[in-house]
Amino acid sequence: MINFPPRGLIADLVTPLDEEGRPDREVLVRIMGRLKTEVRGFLAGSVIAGEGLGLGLEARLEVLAASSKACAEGQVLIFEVTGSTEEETISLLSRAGTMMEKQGQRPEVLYLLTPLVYHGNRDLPDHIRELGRLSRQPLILSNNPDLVRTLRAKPRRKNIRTSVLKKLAANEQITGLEFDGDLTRALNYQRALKSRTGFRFYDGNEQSFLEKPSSSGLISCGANILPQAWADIVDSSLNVFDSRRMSPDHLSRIWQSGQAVRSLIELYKPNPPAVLKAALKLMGVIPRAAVTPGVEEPGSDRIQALETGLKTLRLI
Amino acid sequence: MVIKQAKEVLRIEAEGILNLIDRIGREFADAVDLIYKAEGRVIVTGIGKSGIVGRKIVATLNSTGTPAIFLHPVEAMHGDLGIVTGGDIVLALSNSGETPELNAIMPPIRSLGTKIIALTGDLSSRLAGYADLALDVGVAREACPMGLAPTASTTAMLAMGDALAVTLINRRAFNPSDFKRLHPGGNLGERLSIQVREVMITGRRVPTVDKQALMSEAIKVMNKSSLGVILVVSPKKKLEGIFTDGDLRRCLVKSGDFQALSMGEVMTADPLTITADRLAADALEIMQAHEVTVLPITDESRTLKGMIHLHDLLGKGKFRFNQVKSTYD
Repeated sequence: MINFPPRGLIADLVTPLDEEGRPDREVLVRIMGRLKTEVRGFLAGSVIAGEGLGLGLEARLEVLAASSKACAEGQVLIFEVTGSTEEETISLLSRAGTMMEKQGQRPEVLYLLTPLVYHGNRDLPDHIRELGRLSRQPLILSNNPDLVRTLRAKPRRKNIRTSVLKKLAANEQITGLEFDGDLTRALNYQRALKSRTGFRFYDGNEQSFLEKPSSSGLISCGANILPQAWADIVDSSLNVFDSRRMSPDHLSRIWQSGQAVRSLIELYKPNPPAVLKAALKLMGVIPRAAVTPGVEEPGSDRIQALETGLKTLRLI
Repeated sequence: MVIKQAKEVLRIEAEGILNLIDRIGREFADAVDLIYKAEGRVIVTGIGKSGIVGRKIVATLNSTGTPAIFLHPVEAMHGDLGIVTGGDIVLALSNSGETPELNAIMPPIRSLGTKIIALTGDLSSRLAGYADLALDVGVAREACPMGLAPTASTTAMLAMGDALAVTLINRRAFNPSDFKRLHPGGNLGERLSIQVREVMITGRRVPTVDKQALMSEAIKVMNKSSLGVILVVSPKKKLEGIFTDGDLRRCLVKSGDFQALSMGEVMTADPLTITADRLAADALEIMQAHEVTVLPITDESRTLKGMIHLHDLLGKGKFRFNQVKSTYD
C-alpha cells in the first residue's frame, strides 16, 4: 500500500513576485527549501494564498515549473488548476499535464480543483470526468464556500452537495478533498466518502483544524511563516509518534505552538497572500511583498500589528 | 456553548465508530479466525493512549475466554520479548502506525513465526506493512483541539477490540457458566472472609497413612479420597509429610518396583501448613504464592486438624491458576 496522497501538513505556498510582477522562481525555491523538512507536500499556485487567478496562465505554469523542480524526494506537489471559467481550467490543466509529461511526471503531481468557482453542482461528476481525460494525474477537489461567495455573484450553491460528492467518490481519479465548512457538513461528507479507503480529507481551514482536526491533515498557508509550529500541531493531531506524548513537555509545546499560530491567523485571515508576504519580507525570507493586481496591500496598522506579533514570536 | 461542544465531541466519536462498520470485512473475519485457532495467547501491545486501550482489550479478552496479556513495547525491547512464542498472536495498536518503539519490535516478533494483527488508523503505515492482517480503525477527525489527547481514534480502537472479543465469544461458544468460572469475584469475597476451620475437611475425609505404609496401600487411600493427595502422620497424629499425584508420577518414572516403597521414603517432609483460626483468604494467598492446591491444617504442635482444598475456597468447579502445577509439584 502506498501512502499517497500523504497524511500530514501541506504548505499552501505564497507566490513571490519579481520587480516585473512575474513569479520569482528563485525566491519560491528558497521558500520551499525553508519548509521542506516540516511538510509532507506543497500546494503551489493556489487560488487564495498563491494568487492563482491573478497570475495568468503563463505565470501559473512558471510556478508549476519552479515548484516541481524544488520538490524534494518523497514530497508531493499539489498544483491548483482552478480557473475563472471552465475554459481557463481546461486550458491550464491541459498545459500543466503536457509540461509534467515532458518532465517525466517527477515529482508526483496532484491537481487541486475548486469546481464551484466556475461550475454548478449539476453535471459536476461529468465535468470532472471530462477533466480526467486531459490528465491522468490524481485530483483533489476543494470545497470552499467563502471563496465561491467571493468570486461568484449570487452563486446558487456554495458547497458541493453531499449527494453529488457521493457520485464523485466513484471516480477513482479523485483521491482527496480540501474542506472548508462547518462540522455537520464535514461529517456528512466523510460519511459520503466512507467507501473510499485511503481517500484524504484535508482541512482547508486552519481554525477548524485547530478545534476538531481531520485525520488526513491540513493544507495550511500559515505554514509559510510558522512551519515548525504547524508541523507539531498536525503531527500531534494525527497522533503521529504516540510515544512523543509521553514526554513531559509535549503538551506545553503543542499548547505554545497553538497559541503562536492562533495569534497570527487573526492577522492574515482577511487577506492571506498580502499579509503572509509582508510577514516573510519582515522575516527576511523574501525581498519584496508585491501582490498581483486586485489583491489589496495591508494597511500600516496591520503591518504594525504583524511586526509586533512576529517580534513576540521571535521571528524577527 | 459548553453543551454544543459536548454534543460535537459525542457526534465526532459516534461517527468514528459508525464509519468502522463498513470497514468490517474479510480481514476482520480472518483476524477472529487467527485468534480462535491460535495455540498460544493474544499478546496486546501499544504505547501511550494506544497502550491504555490495549490494557482494556486484554481485560476484555481475558474475561471472555481468550487468554491475553499486555506487552509494553519498551519493556519488550529490554527482554520482555521473551514471553512471545510462535503460537501466540500479537495484536499491535497504533493509530498512526508509525510509532518507532512499536515498529522496532515487529521484526523480531515476525522472526518467531508469530502472527501479527495491527489495529491502525493508516493502512499504508509501516505497522500495517509488518502485520499479517491490518484492521482499519481510522477516524475522520479527532474531537480534541490540536490532538492534545487522542479522542475519537482511541474510542474507535477500543470498539474494534470489543468487536474482536465479542465475536470470539460466539466463536468459542462461551456460555454463562464459563463467564461465572472466570468471574468468581461476586461471592468469592464472602467466602474468603471466613476462618479456615469453617471450610476445612476433617476426620475420616482427610486421607492419611503412616510412614511405614507401602505405596500400594497409599494409592488405595488416595483413590478413595479423590483429592490427589495423602498426608503422612505419626501415631500421635503429628504431620510428617505429604504425598501427591505428582510425587506418584515421579516414582513411576524413577522406580520400576515403586509399590514396595514406604511412604517415609517418598513423601515430601515438612509441608506447608496453616492453622484453623486463620482466614480462608490467607489460605488462598499461600496457595497462590506457592502454586499448590492443598494445605494441611495443624495446630502449633503440628498435630493434624484437617485439610483444605482450593475447591473449598473457590467452589467446586474448574478454577485453575494461570500456570497450573500439580499439587506440590
